[in-house]
Amino acid sequence: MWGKELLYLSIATVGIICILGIILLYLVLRKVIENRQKNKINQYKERLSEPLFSFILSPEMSRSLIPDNKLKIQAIEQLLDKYVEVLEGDFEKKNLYSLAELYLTDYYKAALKSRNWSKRMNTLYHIEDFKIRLLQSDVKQLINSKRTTREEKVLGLRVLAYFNYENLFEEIHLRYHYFSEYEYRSILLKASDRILDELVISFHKSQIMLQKATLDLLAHKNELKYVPFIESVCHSYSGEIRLRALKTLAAIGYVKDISHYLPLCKSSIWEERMMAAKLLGTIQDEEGLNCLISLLHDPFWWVRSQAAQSIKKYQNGNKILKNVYQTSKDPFAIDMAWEWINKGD
Amino acid sequence: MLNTVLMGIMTTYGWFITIFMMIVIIFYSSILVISSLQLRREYQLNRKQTYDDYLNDYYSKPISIIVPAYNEEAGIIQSVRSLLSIHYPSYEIIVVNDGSKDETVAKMIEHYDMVEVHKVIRKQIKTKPIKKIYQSKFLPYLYLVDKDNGGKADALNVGLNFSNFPYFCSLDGDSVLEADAFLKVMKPIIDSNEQVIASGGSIRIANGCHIENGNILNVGLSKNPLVIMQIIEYLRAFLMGRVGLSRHNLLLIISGAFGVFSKHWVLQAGGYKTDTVGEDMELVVRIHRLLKERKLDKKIGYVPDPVCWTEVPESMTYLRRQRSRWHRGLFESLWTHRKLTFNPKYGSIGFISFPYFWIVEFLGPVVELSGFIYIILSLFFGGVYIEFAILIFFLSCLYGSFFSMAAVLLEEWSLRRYPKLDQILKLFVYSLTETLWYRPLTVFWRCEGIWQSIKGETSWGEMKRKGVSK
Repeated sequence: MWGKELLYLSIATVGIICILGIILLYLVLRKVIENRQKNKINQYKERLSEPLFSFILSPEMSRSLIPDNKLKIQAIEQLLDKYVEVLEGDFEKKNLYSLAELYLTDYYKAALKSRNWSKRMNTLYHIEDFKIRLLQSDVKQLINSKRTTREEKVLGLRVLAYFNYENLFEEIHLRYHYFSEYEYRSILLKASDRILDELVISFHKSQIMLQKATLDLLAHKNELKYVPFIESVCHSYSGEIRLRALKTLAAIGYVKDISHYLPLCKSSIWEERMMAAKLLGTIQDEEGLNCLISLLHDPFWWVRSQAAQSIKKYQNGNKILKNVYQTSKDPFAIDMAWEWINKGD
Repeated sequence: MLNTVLMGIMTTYGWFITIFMMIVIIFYSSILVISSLQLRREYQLNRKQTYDDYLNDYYSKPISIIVPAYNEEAGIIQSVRSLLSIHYPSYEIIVVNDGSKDETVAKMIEHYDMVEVHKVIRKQIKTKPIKKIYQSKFLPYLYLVDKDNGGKADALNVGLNFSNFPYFCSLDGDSVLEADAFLKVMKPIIDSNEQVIASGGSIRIANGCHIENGNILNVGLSKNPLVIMQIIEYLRAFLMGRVGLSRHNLLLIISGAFGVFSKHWVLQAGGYKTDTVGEDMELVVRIHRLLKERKLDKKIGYVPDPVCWTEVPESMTYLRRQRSRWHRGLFESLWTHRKLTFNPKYGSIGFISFPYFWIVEFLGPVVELSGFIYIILSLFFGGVYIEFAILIFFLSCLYGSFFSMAAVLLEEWSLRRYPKLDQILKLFVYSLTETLWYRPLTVFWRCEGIWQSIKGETSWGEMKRKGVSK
């Protein structure tokens, strides 16, 4: 009763085995070829590493460096990739960049148009590493193309930010309002001061993720000239943006007048109390001590912990904590004081 | 009369097995397609650079690494050492000694110069009492918590209470991490702006690899056929199964060997459950459940990259214990949360994940085992049943061997962690033989697990470790 079905099934089985076998054959061939190419690239690398390095130290053309085939280009790329990580001097770096520009520009121009996503991504990373400005318009073209993925857009915009691209800010504002905080931060982390100033100026018009990213960038920059701006954000905003601004101020460690922030110790939002404690810890103004001691008795563990940590930073911090430990009636505050008295020594 | 009834039963049952296997094969095939598309996209991406971004980002999320240790004096120093060399901007290591009877504590104290400290612990989950807390003098981010014995889940809960950071990772003592493991698994969390609240990666098998000081120097193949079969099995489970399931947020398992969780959500879910042998799966199911009940749009992520290399049993005895234990764990998680099955409130988890785990993962072995028995029986009955038996055999080849072969090819097509040609060929040939010997064995062991669950057995079945690192 099964004769026909069994025949079909055995044909299917043989068919599947054949298909798997063909795929295997393809993968095996690919592996053999690629292993061979890898060996070849390694040979090139061995041969090229010395002339390449001497060019970087003192730029004089050498005939052996001219890349006449794809594998040689890849060898040069890998070598430069290694050097760019370890080189320190500006002169040497400049030589390396000009070398990359000379030999890799055409190769990358084509690679940016590749159908292979990972190839385009890798190329963008390399353009960033080697700072090939000649490719700026190609990168722009890639970002604006319809089939480009989100990852490529972020990476491409970051490369443009790095090149201090004129209209970057407008582009972000008009077209890319949907990125996450992390993505904005990633784009702007290496942006120039000019772009950062633009961000600050139009902060109020920006969308919330960009605002958060901006505040984080300012914390990262750690420059006093932005303090008045951050303080104004802190006073005119509420909720998460305000918390971020406080965090940024705590990271920079300076405010014009600490007394403006003391009322935060009595805020009804525990996160704000915690941030106030953090801020007081970095500024270490005597005025803040009473506030910190009251926060050490806060109902929230995080606030207590931060308050104790901040008190500990004061010059006579240990003494104050010991005092709390001996005199307080709140078992939670005593516990926390005890922990920080014993910490770090 | 009796004969006719028997024949009727045989025919009906033959049909049942056939249809069951067909459905599963269709399901697996679609998962295979989804996985291949996903894996292909990231083929040959220069990962090192991708992760560099995250490393440089001063704003990356700090992680608490919790290492539960019970009688691990042989390997604990090595495990901690491998953690000290990972690439991640900020983390702390919390070794939780679960009342070991050996020298685990003494060894840690001596080797890492640890001193007792006083620290306030937020007791957010109820656990067995803590005896003492130590901190290393020269590595301030290394802690040792000494507590009364209470099992692995209890030790993990203590680690959770103790930890200072918003994300945590639990790690088995016998695993070796890739240096970039945390960068890899944190990527989905950071990229998604914390919409992903837990994330795991592929687990690979360390037996046969050359490992020194907790670093993988050379990826090799063991000579032991049991280990090779397990390598294939892991490839299939991770590359095919999990990539496919995670694509649609259907993943119910993040391997206990390595996974990162958001502490907030784990605490919301109530921490690890202490009276089950499959606490890792149970936790993930509970988190899913919580998310659905609160109607939150959060996800559980998965990256196909290998992140963790673990030691697997090399002998039948231990493998058998492990497999029946896993199956009991699976049953306990499914049974505890049986309400989710076909419950419209739980959406795709209730209608796809749960039925899949019940029917394919849990009951599949029973059907398969009866398939093997059917084949043997049919030899005695002869006639039309032989044809049925051949049919079932073909299907179980598809079911077992062919998907394994495909998984091996998928590995070579996308991730390519095995550098040598003969390794791939060896894996391929071995996977061809799966239906003939390895599959029936594991199927039998898993059925044993079901039997043990019915009897209500709760033993853990210890595994003897050789130690993977030199």
